[in-house]
Amino acid sequence: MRKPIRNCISWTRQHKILASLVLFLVLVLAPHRTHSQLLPDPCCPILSAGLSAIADLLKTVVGVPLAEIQRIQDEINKYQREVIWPLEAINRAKQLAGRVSGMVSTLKGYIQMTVNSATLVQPLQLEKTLLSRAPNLVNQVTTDYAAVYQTLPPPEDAPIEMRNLIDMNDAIAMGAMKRAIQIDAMVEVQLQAADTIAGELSRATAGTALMVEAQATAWLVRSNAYTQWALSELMRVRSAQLASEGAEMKFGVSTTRDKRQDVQQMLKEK
Amino acid sequence: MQLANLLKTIYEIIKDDLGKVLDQITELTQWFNDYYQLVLFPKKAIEAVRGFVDWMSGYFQSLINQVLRFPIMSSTLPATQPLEALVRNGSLDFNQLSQAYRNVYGSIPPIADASPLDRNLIDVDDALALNSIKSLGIHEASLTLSLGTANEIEDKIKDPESAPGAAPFLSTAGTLASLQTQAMIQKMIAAQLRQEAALLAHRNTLLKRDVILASQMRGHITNLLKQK
Repeated sequence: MRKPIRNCISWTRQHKILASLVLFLVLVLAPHRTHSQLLPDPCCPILSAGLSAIADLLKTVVGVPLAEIQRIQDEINKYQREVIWPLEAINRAKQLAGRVSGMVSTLKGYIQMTVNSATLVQPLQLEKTLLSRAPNLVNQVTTDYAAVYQTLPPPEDAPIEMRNLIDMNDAIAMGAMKRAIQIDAMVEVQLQAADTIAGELSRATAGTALMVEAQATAWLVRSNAYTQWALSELMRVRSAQLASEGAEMKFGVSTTRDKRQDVQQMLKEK
Repeated sequence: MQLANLLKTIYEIIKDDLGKVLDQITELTQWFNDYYQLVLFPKKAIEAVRGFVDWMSGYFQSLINQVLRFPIMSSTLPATQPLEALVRNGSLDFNQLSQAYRNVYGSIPPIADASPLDRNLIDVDDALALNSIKSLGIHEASLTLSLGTANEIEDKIKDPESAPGAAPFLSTAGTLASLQTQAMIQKMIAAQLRQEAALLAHRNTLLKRDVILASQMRGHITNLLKQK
């Protein structure tokens, strides 16, 4: 009989808080008749005094701080709901996501406006390909370009240096035209991405909006990179233009030198 | 006696253990509250940011207005003035634009007056120049959209009902507008790329024409010499 009691006391010592609560609840909530069968008479002065002291203690030591915690928590909740994350302000800000989507639609409308202006057959075809925004038409540029700007002269008509220059210039010009088609297509991809993110933003909560923002930032970084990509193509064309100007001057110099030598030769022969 | 000890133990647990823990929780909750209200999001700081945005938008807008105060229209002749006005005002009336362009830069010479090569070159040059001029109107319109979005973001922050919790939506909208602006810049670069490529191709074609003319001349001279 002593062993279970000892075990019980030992368990109680090990789980002080839980045991206190269990005992307290049993004493307070159990029906009086059952109570009297299990425990000594509640009128027992020791038990009565003890429970009364515990009840007082619970009111002061537990009840007061709990009430204080609840008050502070209410204040925190109120502050968060009314000052930091008020639903009305969040919903108003969310409306901007709709505006961004509208902006994408407007820009797409602008982009798809027809600006074609050529009137003759070959320029018309080249212009159509260049403004197509269709990356699968990139190879078509070679044919359309040659129809307007002519092809490389045959070897018997021009020296190798001149043919090299013409071929390089054509390559850079055609490459830039092809790249322009790709850039136009990339613009549409990026606008599509912006529209998709705006849709996600309209469904986001104030907490997840930061994640959507991070995704938008990633796309902005990507877009900046594409701008650099486009600018690098522009630099290629400008460099080729400059190089071509220089090469033409060099041709002028060598042609003058050859002619001077020819004249001198003719004079010598006479 | 055991019962008295048990009650004493319970009393001490409530007083020492539970009481201390609850005091700590109260202290922590109060700290959390203060941290929000006094450190992270004090109402005064929120008001200050609203005031800052209000001041900034007004002050810098006036600076921008001063920069853009003087018109830059510079043409003087009856033919050039309408074209300059259309080009600078971002007109989307493409027919009027084409007409004004031809009034200034002329039309393609008739077949009798120019070779097919020259006519093609003139036409493609005009076409690419006009493409870009027409696109200017589109870019002006997209510029207006971007500036409108920037203003709207500022207005939302200035709103007395605005809140820090709504800021991620505003900054995301701003980032998306930047993304769109970036895409439109790329569109402009693509147009410029076409023009620069056309300029290079034009000059290259003149080189090819020189080669063709030289070849033809060589042929003529050879024929002449043969006839003699």
